[in-house]
Amino acid sequence: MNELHAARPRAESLPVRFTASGSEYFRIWISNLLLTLLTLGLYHPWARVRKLRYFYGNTWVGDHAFDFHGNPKRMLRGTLLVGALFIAYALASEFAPAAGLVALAIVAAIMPALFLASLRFRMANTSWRGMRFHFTGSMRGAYTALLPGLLPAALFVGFTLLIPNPDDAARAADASAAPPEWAMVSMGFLVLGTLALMPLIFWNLKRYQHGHYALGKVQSRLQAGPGAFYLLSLKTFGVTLLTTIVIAIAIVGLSAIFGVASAIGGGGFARGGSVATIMLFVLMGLAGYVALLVVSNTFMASRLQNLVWNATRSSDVRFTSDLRLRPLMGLTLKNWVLIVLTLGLYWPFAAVASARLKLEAVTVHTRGSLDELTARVGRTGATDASGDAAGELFGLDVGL
Amino acid sequence: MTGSPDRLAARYFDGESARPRDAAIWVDGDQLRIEIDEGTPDTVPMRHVQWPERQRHGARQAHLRDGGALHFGDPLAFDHWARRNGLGESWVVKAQQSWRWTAWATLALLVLCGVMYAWGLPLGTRAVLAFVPHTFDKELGELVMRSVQSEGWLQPTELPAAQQQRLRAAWAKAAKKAGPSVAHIDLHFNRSKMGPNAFALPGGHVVLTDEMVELADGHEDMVVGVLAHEAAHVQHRHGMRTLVQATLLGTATSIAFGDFSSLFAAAPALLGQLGYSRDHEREADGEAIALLQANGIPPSVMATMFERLRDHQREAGMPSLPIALGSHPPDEERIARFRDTPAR
Repeated sequence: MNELHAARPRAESLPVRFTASGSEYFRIWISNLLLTLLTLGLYHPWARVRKLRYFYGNTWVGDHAFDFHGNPKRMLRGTLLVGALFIAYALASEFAPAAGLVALAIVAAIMPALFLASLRFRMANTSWRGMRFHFTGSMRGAYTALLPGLLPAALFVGFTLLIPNPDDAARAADASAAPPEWAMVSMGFLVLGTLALMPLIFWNLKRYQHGHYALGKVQSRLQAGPGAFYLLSLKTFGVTLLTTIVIAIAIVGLSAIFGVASAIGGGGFARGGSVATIMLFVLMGLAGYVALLVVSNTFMASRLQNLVWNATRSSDVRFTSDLRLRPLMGLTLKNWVLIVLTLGLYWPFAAVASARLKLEAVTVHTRGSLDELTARVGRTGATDASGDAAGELFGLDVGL
Repeated sequence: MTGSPDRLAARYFDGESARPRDAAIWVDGDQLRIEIDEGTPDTVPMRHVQWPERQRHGARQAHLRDGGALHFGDPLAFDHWARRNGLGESWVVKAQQSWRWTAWATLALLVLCGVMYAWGLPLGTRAVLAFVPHTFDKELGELVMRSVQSEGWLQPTELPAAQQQRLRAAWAKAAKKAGPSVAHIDLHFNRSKMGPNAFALPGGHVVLTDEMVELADGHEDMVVGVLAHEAAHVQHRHGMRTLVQATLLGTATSIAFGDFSSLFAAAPALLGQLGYSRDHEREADGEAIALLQANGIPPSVMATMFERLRDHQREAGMPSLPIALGSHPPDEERIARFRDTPAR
């Protein structure tokens, strides 16, 4: 142990810093949006590169910022390909559900490959201290990581097709319109089983993702079992339940007050009063729903980031993430309100503020000197950009 | 070259190792000289260097084609050096760094969104639909009709066969008199949970509920007006246009806001779609007025019909939504339009 420390004297703790400004990103965002619209979407890859270079160039670990190396011309091909696929899929599912189902099956079948391509492209085009990252996961790994997540969905669709269509029998009598009991029961079990397996499936995915990031010879792994993910799911469930109860009590209390008030003051305006009451209930329900979303989403997001990054490490590097719930909740609420009030113009400010909060919660700890980091493999060549475009489209984007 | 070169300090990375090396760079014609650790300068063609763009915040990093990189610790020093050496920058970067241009861009964006919404998208939709054969409308309509029937929304009609026959004859006569532009419709009578209503599907299926016929209370003119409205939906392919517009609108809003939240992307798309839907309704009302006038029926019969419909909805306790959230124009607007249009 002593010898090891003697050989590597410089253990370092490097907090992540984020120096972007909302007003500067606003200027980049507005010109990106305008040019994308004017070129009917063709500018999109250039916009994406500008955005990523701005965000990466303002994310610092120690004295060094990240950089993005994607080539917009090459990314354009990927965007066009994925855009065509997406439009075909959207149109197919709107016009004919059966065709949409086939398209969905095809997308599901190639999803793991796209996911892998997206990670590879993103990592190969991200650099720090002049070295490119890479993603070392295999194709087989991608399928074993993602397919379990698609299986419940496939079973669900299969069941819906298997259940005898009420169409044929039910025209005559209304009562028999419900699907048979066995189908409902097994569907219920399927839903419950999926819910019970969700944390395991998610852990499996995160283990693949965080187990194959690499910079030089340093390769990450996820040192957490499924237990931690189950615990987090249970806690999120508890928080959601508690919030729902609190909101429900608040709404009942408020409507009791309003009910008494309108009973006293009401009378002649029965009709107008009832419409106003309905609108009031709708508004209260909406506010309650938004509050629920903010609480449970931010709880899940903050705890998940901490869980995953605290467990990501290699022999020489580990991370700590201390993203607090209350600041994130406050920021999310503020962002949503301001985005709605400004009809979307606040969005770049919101993006920068939440990136800052999330990134600056992370610290990188190294055991040895970072100067000794060397590339294990030569530079990986240009990888397929359609993966990146697809990743963005299907929400597979990975934040670093 | 005479004179001392305009040198800039940098940290050089070879791409193989994370160890930075002190370097100095200067431009020599169309070559970039890179002196590493005060050794013999390397030479790289300028066109093989990808320079960073000017920003207020963030690192300045240049990429070399061989995988190496140059990092500049002092952003301002780099920006000045770049300007002195005429590296140039694209007009996009100039615009991004200027608040004046940003203000113009914001204004242009708002105008563009308005123009696209008012004219661009409807025009694009017509262009797309020009390539979709009408047989497609028919098949889609059949599909939807089957699913509507199997969902239990429609029950068999309870109208006497004679009354159905009379109404069909009245519509056929009125449509014939109005001219060949009136779309052919397949009329279905059904009792329904929806209450008094009528709807048209792409390709020509039109469902008229028994409750609607009862609301007309023997006034065949009212039924003709309702059917004229629905036939206009079929003729102008409003159902198909809605599908295409929803797809295009959804794509556009998800590009703008999708990377933040799908909820925020969906809200403007939905509101925009409702606006188009109200336009379709107004267009169909216009066609209905024309058909009624061609038959010498005063359009005000429809005003009476809408008033009855509104009363019915109030009795049923349905709230009237604010205009921005409605798929139809407000009742008052439609009633006034039909009432104030002369018979001829």
